[in-house]
Amino acid sequence: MHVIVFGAGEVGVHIADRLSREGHDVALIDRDAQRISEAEERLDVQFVVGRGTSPTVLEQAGINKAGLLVAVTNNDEANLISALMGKQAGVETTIVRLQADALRGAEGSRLRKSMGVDYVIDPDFETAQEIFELLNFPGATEIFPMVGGEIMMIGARLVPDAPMVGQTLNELARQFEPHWDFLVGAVTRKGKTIIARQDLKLEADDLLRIVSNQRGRRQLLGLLGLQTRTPRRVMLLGGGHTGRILAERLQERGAFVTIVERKIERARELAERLEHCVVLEGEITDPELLAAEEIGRQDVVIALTGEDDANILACLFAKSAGAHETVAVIHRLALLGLVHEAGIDVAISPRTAIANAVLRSVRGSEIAAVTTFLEGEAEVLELTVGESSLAEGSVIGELPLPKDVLVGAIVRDGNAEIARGRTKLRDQDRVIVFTMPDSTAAVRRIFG
Amino acid sequence: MRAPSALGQRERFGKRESVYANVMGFSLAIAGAGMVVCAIVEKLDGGSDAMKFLVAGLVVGVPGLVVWRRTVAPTRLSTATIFASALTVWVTLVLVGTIPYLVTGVLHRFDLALFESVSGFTTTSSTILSGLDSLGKGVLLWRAMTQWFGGIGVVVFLVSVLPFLNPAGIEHLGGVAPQAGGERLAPRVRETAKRLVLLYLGFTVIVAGLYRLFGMSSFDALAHSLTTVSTGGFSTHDASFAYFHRAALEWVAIVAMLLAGGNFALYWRALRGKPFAILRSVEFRVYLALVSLVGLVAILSNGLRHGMTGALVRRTLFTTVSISTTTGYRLANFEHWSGSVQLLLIFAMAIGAMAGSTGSGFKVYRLMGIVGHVRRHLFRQLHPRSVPVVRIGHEVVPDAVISRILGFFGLFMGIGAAATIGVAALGGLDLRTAIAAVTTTMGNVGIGLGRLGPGHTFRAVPAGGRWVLMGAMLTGRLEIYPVLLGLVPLARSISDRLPRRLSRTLVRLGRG
Repeated sequence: MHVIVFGAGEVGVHIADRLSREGHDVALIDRDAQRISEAEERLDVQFVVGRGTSPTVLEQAGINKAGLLVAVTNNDEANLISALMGKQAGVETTIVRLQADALRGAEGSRLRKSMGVDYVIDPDFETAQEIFELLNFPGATEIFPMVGGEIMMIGARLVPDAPMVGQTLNELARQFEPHWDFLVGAVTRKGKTIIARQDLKLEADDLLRIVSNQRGRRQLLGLLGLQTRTPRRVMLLGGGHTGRILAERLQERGAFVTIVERKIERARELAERLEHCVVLEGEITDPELLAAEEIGRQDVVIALTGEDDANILACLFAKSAGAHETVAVIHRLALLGLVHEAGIDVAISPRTAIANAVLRSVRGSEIAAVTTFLEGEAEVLELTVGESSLAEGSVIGELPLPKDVLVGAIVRDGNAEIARGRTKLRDQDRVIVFTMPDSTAAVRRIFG
Repeated sequence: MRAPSALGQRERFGKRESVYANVMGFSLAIAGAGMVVCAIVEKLDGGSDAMKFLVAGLVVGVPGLVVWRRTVAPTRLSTATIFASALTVWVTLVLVGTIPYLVTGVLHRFDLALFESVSGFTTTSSTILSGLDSLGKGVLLWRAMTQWFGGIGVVVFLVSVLPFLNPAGIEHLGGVAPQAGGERLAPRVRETAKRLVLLYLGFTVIVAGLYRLFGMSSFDALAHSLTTVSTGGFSTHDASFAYFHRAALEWVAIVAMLLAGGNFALYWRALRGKPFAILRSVEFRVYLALVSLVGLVAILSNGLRHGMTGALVRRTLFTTVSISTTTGYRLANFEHWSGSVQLLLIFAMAIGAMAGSTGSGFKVYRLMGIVGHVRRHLFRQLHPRSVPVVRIGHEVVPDAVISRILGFFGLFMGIGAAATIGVAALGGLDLRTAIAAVTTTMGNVGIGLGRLGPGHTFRAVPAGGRWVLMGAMLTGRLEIYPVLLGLVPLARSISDRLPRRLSRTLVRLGRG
């Protein structure tokens, strides 16, 4: 498929990269030649310098043969107009980044429809959502609801004194017979990800990806050696769009939220909007300010400015002052390793959230959701067993699945079950599958 | 140099353009019409003063009508001019308001009649008169009517005119209820005023109907409805509300007084299909909470002292509501209440009712502003780098508003203190009585403590003290600024006519 990505920012470049690696023809448009030339070194895509709202530029990028247009600049209006132009040129699907609440919400639905917008994404919103989920599952590094929230995909690093350490997956599974509420799907150890096998022995510092149903949550927290308390005192460093959304949700839940924002006008805007939050004006790396506001007594400190170094520095300071958990938003993926080394508990990248949202709509109708991870190449697919597919009517254990594919869970008639080798698949079952990118084609063939 | 004269020289639509002549003419016309109504009532009742009222009404009203119709107010007015016009209206009204008392011989001295008139038009109800039960219906109706005019006058002025000037920190009162963040009542002052008058009339008719239904005579029902909706408090009996001895009437009055002390703009919105606007208003809730708190404390205190009975609860509640809403009907004699509860009543008088009501006092809205400011101040001690935002209700208020509220607070306290000293010195009142007298007159309540408590009249205050109290009533009713600054245009035009050197010296002196 030919895809046009408008906006060569961090998000746009990441999407273009993912899509081209999936085998799509991608054209990347940005009016900033500098940005384009930076991206040119890394990506195997067609580059067009110009405005994505200009017909000639769009034509140059191949709008007439494009099946998908992704408009992800920082400008809502420009994104909307390019979507409209794409639709008029016959593009089947448009994905538009919208930041204004009014445009994203129900009140904007008519406008979106008339502007030819099929899907809306907002990296800030997705990031806020992800952080919020994580706060509900303290200690986890990733958490994605799947199949409408019936199943959770949880990522967590094993602490040395966790009960799971030293057990093989087989031993672990036997303890919970006859009924499983969770399943370890993938393990990342020393930067290498493998799809879980029965004889794999878990070690401290392993990063596990686990599917769990709602029942399994509490059990899991214990096994992973994590606390079950939800945070009451939260400090947000950086009062951007993500910070505001997060603060609103936390305030709603009754948490004590403190926000540090550098720009006085923005700080004032936040203070006016967030009645129950304390808004401080200052640098997030100002140790005196942070100490005066007792950063060490916070349950969670979340650094979410646009600057990775400031975020990391502030989190390090918080950690050394005694803050219980620190979360840093990191934009440059190369820094991720460092972040964990340095003792920051969770790193979140706006890119993963956005890439997940885009890939979901590219992969076609049989795949409802794709989850990719910041660290490790494994993917989690959510798909529907097709009528008269190879999988329909078969027992999972007998399916000719590649070695790096694991069926994690099945949702049938609204009931979520962890998949067993003896489970028989039926038409319209929703399945959660762990896979490496190379095997997605095989998975689609078997289930589609 | 063009002299900005008090009487404008320009013409529009073939009419003289003068705001002062216009508002003065209007006030006279209204007062005259009121007197004619009193003449009719007096006649129907078979009283002897009908002719006097009719003549007075025509003498006052006809020239007023002519002046009003022959002049036109300019469309754009300076703030100083608006203050001066408000002052003109009230001074005109209180002056002509003395005529019925003087011509009927109810009061013989001008200063006594003026006190009664000021007390009426400022909706205060501190009275000089005793032996009300034997007075003619015409005079009694006139007394009630002055309060009714005063009530609507002040609502129109404060809700539809003053918000455009906004000197006292009550933002967009009529236009936008403080919390609603919504639309103006009407695009123009005139439209807003019309709606308020309509609402006020309807409210009066309903209250009169209920009073009649629950046992008042038709005349009493009319007179008391006029003084209830205006939070006035004049009665037609010396015993005030205690005359009636009917629980149902007292309950009706409690509810009516509470409503009269609420923001009329909210009611208009409620009638226009947004009934929950009233309950959503944080100011309204705080107002009810404050009134209930004062009532509850008084009920508990009295109940513990005298034994809790239904009648005691009702009578105590009536009395506290009457005071908190700045109405001033007398029922229970709080001279016998505990000293601390009496002190609480003084605070209730000073705080008064909601902004945008016919009630007076410092106003709940401003109190909330002060509380918000103090909270922020304390909070900033703990978090020096926090962004300072003050809210009234949930609405963020700009610092300028807080600063105006603080300015108003300073004036309110300063004038109150000065008046207390003045009335103590000139009126020979003891401290407690003096404080209560100033609070009750500045808050336009009407009942004081001690020699000025329920069952007493203000005749006991010597002449000098009465003048101070008259000033306090006007200042409190017009929210200070028109009284304080209303003479500025006059002073300017006088100083412009003086030799230049003298006027420059005067200006310098004036600036200190």
